[in-house]
Amino acid sequence: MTTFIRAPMVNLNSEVMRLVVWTRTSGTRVGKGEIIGLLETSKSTFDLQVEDEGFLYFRVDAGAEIRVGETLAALTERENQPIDWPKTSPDDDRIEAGDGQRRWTKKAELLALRGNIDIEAVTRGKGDGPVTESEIRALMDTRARSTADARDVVDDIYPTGRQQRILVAGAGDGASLVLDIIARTPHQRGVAMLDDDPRWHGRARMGVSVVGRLADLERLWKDGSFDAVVCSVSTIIPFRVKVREMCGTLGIPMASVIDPTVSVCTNVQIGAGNVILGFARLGPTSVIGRNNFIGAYTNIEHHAMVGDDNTFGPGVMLSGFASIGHRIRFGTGIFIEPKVQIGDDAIVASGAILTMNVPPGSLVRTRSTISIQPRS
Amino acid sequence: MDGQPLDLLELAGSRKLDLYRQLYTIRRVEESLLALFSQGLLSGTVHTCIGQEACGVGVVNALDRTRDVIWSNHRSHGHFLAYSDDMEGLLAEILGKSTGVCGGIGGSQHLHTGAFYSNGVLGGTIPCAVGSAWAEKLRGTGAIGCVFLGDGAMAEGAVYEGLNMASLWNVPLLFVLEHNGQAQSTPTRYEHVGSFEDRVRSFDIEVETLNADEVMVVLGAATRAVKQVRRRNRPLFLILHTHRLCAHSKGDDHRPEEELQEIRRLHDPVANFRQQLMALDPSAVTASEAALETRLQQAIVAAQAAHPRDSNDFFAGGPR
Amino acid sequence: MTTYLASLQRGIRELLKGDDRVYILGEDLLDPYGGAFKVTLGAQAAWPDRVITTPISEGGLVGVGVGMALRGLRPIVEIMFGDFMTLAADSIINYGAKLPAMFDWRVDVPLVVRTPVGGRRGYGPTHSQCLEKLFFGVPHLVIVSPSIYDDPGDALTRAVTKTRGVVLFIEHKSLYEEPLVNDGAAGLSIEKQGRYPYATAVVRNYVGGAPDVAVIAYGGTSLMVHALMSRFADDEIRVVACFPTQVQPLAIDDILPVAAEARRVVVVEEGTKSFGWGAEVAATLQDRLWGILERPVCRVAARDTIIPAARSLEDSVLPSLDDIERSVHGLL
Repeated sequence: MTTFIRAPMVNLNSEVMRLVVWTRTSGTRVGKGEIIGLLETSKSTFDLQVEDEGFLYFRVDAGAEIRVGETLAALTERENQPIDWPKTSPDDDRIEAGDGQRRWTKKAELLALRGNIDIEAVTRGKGDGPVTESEIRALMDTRARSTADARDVVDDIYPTGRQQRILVAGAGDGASLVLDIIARTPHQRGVAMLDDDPRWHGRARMGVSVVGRLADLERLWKDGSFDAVVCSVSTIIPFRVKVREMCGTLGIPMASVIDPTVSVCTNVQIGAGNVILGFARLGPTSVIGRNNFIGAYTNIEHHAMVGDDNTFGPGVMLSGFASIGHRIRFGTGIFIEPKVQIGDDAIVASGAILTMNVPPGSLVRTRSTISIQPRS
Repeated sequence: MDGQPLDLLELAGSRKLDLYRQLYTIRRVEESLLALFSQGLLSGTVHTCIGQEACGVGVVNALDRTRDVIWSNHRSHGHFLAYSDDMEGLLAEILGKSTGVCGGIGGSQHLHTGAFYSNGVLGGTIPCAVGSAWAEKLRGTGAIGCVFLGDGAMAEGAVYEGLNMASLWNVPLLFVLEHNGQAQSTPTRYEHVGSFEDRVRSFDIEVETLNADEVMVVLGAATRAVKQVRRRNRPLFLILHTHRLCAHSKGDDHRPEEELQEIRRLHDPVANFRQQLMALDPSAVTASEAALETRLQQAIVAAQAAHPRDSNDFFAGGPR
Repeated sequence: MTTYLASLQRGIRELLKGDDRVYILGEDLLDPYGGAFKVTLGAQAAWPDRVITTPISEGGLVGVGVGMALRGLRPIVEIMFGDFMTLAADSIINYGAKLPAMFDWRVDVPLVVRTPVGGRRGYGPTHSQCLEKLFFGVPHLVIVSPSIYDDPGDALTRAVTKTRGVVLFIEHKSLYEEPLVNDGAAGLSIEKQGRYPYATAVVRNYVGGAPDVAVIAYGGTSLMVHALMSRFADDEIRVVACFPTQVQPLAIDDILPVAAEARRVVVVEEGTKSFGWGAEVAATLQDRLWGILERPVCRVAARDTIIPAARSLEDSVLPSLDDIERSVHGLL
């Protein structure tokens, strides 16, 4: 079966781009994941990668101006197979091979492209009738809604004069950061740490001792030894999730630990259990979910939404209306353009500039232009 | 052509004096404009009709100023003054003042008052004149049209389109060609072949050619012509041989000085008529001149003192 | 259902009947031929003194019209093909449109110059153009071009009876045989705006809610946009289309709300793209709606070249249905 390679939507604002160069030769065999060419928009360059293996045949020449969705090349199973190229009129996407009935409206198609929804998959899951705009919008909303549920603002109520006693889950380097903030916030105080690594047991950071393993949580809670939990681990997301789920099961509140230098603007919603390091900014009407570790100088811009259990290195810059799912790991120095959506469980490498939506489970890599060699 | 030639003695003395006053007014206004220009008080340029005054005065006085329509060109001051006697309005207009006849917007080449229109692009005035005269006929007003043009304009296509339509539709339009042998800086022989008379006749339009050094001769011919146009509802064409004693506009006259002096000696219509009237009533002549000088000086002072046209006022303009 | 041509013919008859100052001048108006595009058919026979067939002198003809208008008549001058407007340029620009302003608004020149424009008949480079474009930007010159959503007979009547200055009345050849579109036809809602002397039609292919895209067009291109409206509706693309009859000065107060509503705008014209009507609309919209528009204004127009006679070539130079559809899709 022949697969057609089409020009992807590289960012939300470019309908036209240029095929700069083909990096493989037409007629040769390529493997899955290979990069076959380079695309260029007004903002950036982008590798064109194949998802399958096969014999590669070009439709468009290097240097050509192309539009999103245009057919660029084909991958055939056998060499020198005749190729039935799709028509290039606006109608071609509308017509299914066979009975000529269209499978989706043009509006639905354009929306799906923008929202990185695979419209073919939607048609497979449907009954009859074309896929409509409202169905695509519903899909986009569902995804957004799971991160946009209104969270309770952190509301640790305790008698005046009594500081909130915080138990820190995870005694690694992250704990120092968390304890440092607690030391500078008058309403909270660190009382104990838990860690599964026995090396830490009996040791202390900043006067706060590691008293046991995560399993000890329930006992300590029942003894009334603390008021709320925060997770200090910034690199291992499953551990963060585990901590939150345990707290949820046991009915233990989580507390957010927020550096006093953090700028919280108007109408911001912050879930429980967030760690937010120095000079971060939460723009007006932004929504932060639960149990995130947010690095220093990170900007959550207005109307942006962040889900649960995410970790951010220092200097992650979200723009307005950006939408972050759950359990995503961000490196450092990352820039995210307005309205971009990052799907759950993604990993984003340091230095990435995200102009397009990232589907769930993606690994976003950058291409390094740095070379390191010995000085001579 | 119909009628008898007009005799110098048939015209009443007062009427002749009136003609002279018009000639003198035009000459003095034009000279004053040239002087003002040299003093740097005018923006733009002026196309003076010095030497051609008899054309305007002779023809306009044959028309009915109360209803006939006149179209003139870039060299329109003489026609304008003969028609309206509004030296105050003309001077203020050329000096760009709000008291000008067109509020300072048209300037020297674009004048309008009553049924007098002028424009500075050659050739296009002819079809407009045809349309204007035709409208008067269609509306039954009894008015006719008159259009002044120069020999230079006789190379513009629009003139021939206009001649064709005027003759085809029996439009009561008098064409007056002021043939001064010069188009800007170029003598006629560099621009035209054949004869103007032949061209006009080819449109079945009658032509009369005469010399325009004597205002009475021009007035006589024009009076007959106007009568004929009005009576027959047909166009007619007068070719007036005249002389431009000065430059087209400033600085484009390269005729040798001796040639210019000779022209001035032989072909100055103002001087010619003055000579004749001085023989009849010298004190009336000098008194008129003195009165006109006074009026002219006052007009110049008033024009200079008036406010320039205000730009906000200009931008706010629209159909009234 | 009345056609564009029938409406014009009716307008002409009513004008001649209703006001004896109205005169019509043009080439080949003698009945039974009745004009190259039959707009004055029957008028010359009925009013032989006031419907005058003229020599082929476009410049002189318009000049005559100016003179007639100056002296109390209401002339209509027909230029057989809009391509010949070049011959009348001096009369329009330096005489007709200029006299009132130049004479400090002491005169009126109520002259209407009518002409058919446009291609798609294979007439070739000098009989297919939309040269009203050459007169954009001439001060005090009104340019009018009714779409199929307007009533051209009414528009012409209004121009002839109400104007005080020169009006260029532009008719696209392709529209003559087309039926005018009424409100409710073909699933469209049509609203007429009355802010300007000539109506603007605002047409929607949906009911309720916000549009996806605004399409702005005038005259002949209204036919193409009309053909696409139901296709867009089928595709769930909600289009609000705006067709000002007054092309110059820009009916900007009618265009702005539509553009602001949709925030994504396509302008369609049949003139060449560079320095065209779309450029003026786009510049004005970016000036007034900066920060509200979500995309740059997209212009669909003829390519910047001549219009060849071969139909296949003509189709590739003139804006097509595909071009419009692609531009709309591109904005979504």
